Amino acid sequence: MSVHDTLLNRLKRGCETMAYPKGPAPALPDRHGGALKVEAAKCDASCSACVTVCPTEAIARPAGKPVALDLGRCIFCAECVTVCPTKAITQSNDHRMAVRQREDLVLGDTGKEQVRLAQALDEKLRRLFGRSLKLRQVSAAGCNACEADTNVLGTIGWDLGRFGIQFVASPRHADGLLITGPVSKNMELALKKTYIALPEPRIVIALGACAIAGGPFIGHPQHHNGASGLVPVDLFIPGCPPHPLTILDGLLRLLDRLGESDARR
Amino acid sequence: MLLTFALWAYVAGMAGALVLQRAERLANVLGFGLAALGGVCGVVFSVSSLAAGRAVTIAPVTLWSGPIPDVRLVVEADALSCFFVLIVSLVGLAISVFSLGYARTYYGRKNVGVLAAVFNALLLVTTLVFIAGNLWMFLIAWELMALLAYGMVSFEHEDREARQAGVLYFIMSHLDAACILLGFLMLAQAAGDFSFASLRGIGAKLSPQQRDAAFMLFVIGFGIKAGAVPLHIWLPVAHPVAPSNISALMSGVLIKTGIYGLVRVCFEFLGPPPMWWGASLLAAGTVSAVLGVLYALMEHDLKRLLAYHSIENIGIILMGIGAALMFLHTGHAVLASLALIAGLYHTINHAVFKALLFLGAGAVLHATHTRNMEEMGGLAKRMRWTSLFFLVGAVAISALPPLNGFVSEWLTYQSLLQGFGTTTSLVRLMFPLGGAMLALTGALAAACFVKAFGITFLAQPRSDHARNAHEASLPVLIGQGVLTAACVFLGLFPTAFLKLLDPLTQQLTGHQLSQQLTLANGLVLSDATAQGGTVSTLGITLMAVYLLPVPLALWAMFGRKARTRIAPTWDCGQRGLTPQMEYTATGFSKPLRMIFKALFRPRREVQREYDFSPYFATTLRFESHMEEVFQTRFYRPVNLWLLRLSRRLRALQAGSLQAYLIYVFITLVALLLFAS
Amino acid sequence: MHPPTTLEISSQVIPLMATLMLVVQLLLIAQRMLLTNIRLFAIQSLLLSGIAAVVAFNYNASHVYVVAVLTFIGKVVFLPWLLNRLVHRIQIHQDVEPLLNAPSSMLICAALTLLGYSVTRPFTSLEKLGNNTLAIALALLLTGFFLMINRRKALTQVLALLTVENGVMLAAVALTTYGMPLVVELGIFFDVMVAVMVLGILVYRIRENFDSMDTGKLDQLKG
Repeated sequence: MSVHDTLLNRLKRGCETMAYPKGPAPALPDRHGGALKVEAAKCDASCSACVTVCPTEAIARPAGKPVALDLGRCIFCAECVTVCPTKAITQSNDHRMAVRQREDLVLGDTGKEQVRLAQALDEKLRRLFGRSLKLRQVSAAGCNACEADTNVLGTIGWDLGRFGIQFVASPRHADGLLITGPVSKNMELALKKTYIALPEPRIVIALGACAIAGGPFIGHPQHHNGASGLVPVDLFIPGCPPHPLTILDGLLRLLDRLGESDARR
Repeated sequence: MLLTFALWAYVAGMAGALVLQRAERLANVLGFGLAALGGVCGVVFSVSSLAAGRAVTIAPVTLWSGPIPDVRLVVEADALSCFFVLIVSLVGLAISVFSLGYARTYYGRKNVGVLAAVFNALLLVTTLVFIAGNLWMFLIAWELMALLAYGMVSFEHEDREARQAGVLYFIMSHLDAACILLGFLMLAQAAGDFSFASLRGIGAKLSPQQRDAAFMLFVIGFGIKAGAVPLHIWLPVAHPVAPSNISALMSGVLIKTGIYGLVRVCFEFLGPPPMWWGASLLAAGTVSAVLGVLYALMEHDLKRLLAYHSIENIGIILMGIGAALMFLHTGHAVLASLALIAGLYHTINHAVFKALLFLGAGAVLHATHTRNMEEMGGLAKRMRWTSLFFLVGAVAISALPPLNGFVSEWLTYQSLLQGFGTTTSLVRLMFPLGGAMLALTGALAAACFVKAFGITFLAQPRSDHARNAHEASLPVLIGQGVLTAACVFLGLFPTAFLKLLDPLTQQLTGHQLSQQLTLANGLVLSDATAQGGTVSTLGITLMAVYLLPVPLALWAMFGRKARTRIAPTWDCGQRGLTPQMEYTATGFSKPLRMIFKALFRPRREVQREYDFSPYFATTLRFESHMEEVFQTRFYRPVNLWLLRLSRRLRALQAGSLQAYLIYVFITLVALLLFAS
Repeated sequence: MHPPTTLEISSQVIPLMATLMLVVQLLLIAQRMLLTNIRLFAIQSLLLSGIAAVVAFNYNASHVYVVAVLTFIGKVVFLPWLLNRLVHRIQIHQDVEPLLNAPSSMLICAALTLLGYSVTRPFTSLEKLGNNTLAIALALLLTGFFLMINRRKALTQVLALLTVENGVMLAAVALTTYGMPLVVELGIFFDVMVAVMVLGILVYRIRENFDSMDTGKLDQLKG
């Protein structure tokens, strides 16, 4: 195709960026299922089928306590949904999962059936980062699925740049750190040095099951079980990998760019 | 008379240092101290003579008359001599002070007394070359200069490289002495007398072929001394191996004697030049400039790099002089003066900043015990003053405003650019071509000095020696400081300096230009044309100073609230930065090596040893060569031809008494026949 | 007709003796026996001292007598005796084949003599002793040189050198009324003495090392 044809083609196709967040969010694919909803009240007293079937030991049922599902360790295989006899664990088809505190990811108890979604940053940080957030990405020994789905946010369909969010080449240029992967021992020094190199004020985002709690590599002697133990994390986005919509929702929630009436729950 | 005092100071320094050879410290202080004293006297003498504006400062004085008639040593100083005496005295002064500290590195190793004595002797004979009034004085001083310099090049004679360099220097010096001797004899034969006074304008009495032949002989002879391409092969070999103060003297002053000779002969003795004289000098200068800087870029020996740069700057000087000769031919005397001023200004500039750079290299060499840039680095923090002075020298040689290199190259550009309109023949194309090549060399020189300064002084030390380097001693720093001050002065106050060149141009081209070149009470330098190109280095500097409050105010208003944190350089999360991650000199120059592949013909060899996979090599060997174009394509064939010829002539040496007697007899008979 | 004056007699005698010297020289060139050559050289030197004596007698120059006496003692008595002794020690009595054979040598010598005459023609006014003495001196010089080239034995070459020196002395005596200053003559004389002694030693050494006086063998020394 010649330049002329390319230009004409582009002009014909017009604007292909999605309307979200000013319009409705795109639908999640069939296999995704969205966030999990855990209603411990529906559980059988002696049933612990979900505990044994979870590949990352994300579900625990200590004696005398209600069942607790740690969404941070969940890799969203939905085995527990299939195996639960009482439908205590269900998929909610909700793409919103990002939280500010680690405890908000543990579901099951009354009042905590679903994630308590992230609050925005405080006023001062929102004034600094609200319209321009530059992130430095550290890929700490994961499988790269999280990075791929983050990368998708840069395409014209999603267009992360329209929110002023960009990925930069050096932590000295960045406002925040986006960590993926379970942080192997080899990457520990690099992660710490990158964090220290960020000028203050700075924020840290842990993306994916590996970065939050180690994911499938949890307990491995060569890994640190995620970034939580090494650097202070401001935003947790669970998933394996999280859908780009989830990531985008998390970031926008952090910056208070969503404008929804039910932004805080 | 100040000059006599200066000369006697050198003699005293020489004698004193030789007498006190055993007492190293005394010899050092006495020898170099007296040399410094001589330098001061020389500077005062020459500046005052030039400022007074007299055409002739010292009328011909016979120093010594021999029993054979016509053998006399005559001394005479005119404006041109005073200018060059200024160069040798100023640079000699700075180097003497430097040597007071530098000679300490030779205590216990080599004979400091001899070093000081020969240094004084070199200054003495070089001054005599400049103030020589007849051929005997000139040639005797010239040969002595070559001999003494040879001695100094081979000072560290334990080193094979130094011995070989000395021999090459010796041979080339004799070639050049032979050429200029022949040329001068041609002139003297026409004049019937050996004194310079009778040689003035002697070109009118020679036939055009004789004048051309004399010109060629002088160009080759003085060209070898100055180091113009293709006669330059001795320069990058001899200058690095000499002790650093001698290298500075050789590069700063001794090669200028070639320029002095050329100017004296072409402008005074040979008469009105035909066009091809100036054009050939311009061409030679252009080629020298470009090739010199290209080879400098490829060097990682710091002193060899500086030596190649000398070739480049000699090229620029020759461009100015060649242009001046061309303008003399076309009758534009004002432009000729401008070009001559540009060439001579560049001469003193180069003397000053090249000596400064060599002194800095000497200090670095002493601190790190190596000339190889690949083993240096990180010296800026360990040798603060030396790196500052070297930086000033590097900025000056790259012709960046507001220092002196910029001023003289600006003047050269102006004279070249105006050359296009002076004639209608095709030769005028050489002027813009020369200007373009000059621009190229300016850019390449800047790149080269980014490499030289950056690799040597910046980043982290690449070897233990560099890590343990310490700042040089005080005399070493003061010597460099003197030259730095001279660079700054010559750069910021060109208009004041140009007044000193007036009697010179008056004598050589018949015009005094400083009035026309000065505007605005000395603030602005003009190029004396109707278009009125101007530049003001002082103005640039003053503007920078005046504008300084602006960023200061901004900082005071906005900057103070910000928090600052001092942290290590971002290293991409590695374990830390090591010297192996730094640029190497070879790597830095690689892009240019590839661009000019046709000239360098680089050859590269990589050898890899591995146990089980080539990706995990146990040993890696890298070799990179460049072809030495002039040695292999010019000098070697000539040498081989000479050897072949000698072998054929060897047949004459039959070893038989009869044969030799027959040769004598035949000659005798032939002479008798011829005489009758 | 008046009886001839001593001056007139001498102006005839001197050219005669000079011509005889030239004849002796030519004989030298043709002769191969070493002892004969030495004797011929002695005769030539005798003629030279005779010329010097006549000059001294005619012009009342006493120092030229000294020259005559010295020439007699040195070149007629001492040197031939020395060379004779050398020949007997070395036991070689005959020279080897010369470079050019006798007839060719004669032709060349004739040419050289002609050359000598033609070269000195402009100078005849300077001569005091009569015609052509200077020409003969130059001819002696050139032919002596030729002799040096033609022969290979070191001894003959020494002799040739001495005949060249004879020619020089003849020229010195011929050119001025009183001969050259005594100092110069003495200088030349002693120079020749020493040269011959050194050459004598040298010849002996050559003979010892090469078993031959053939100087052609010297090219073995070539590197």
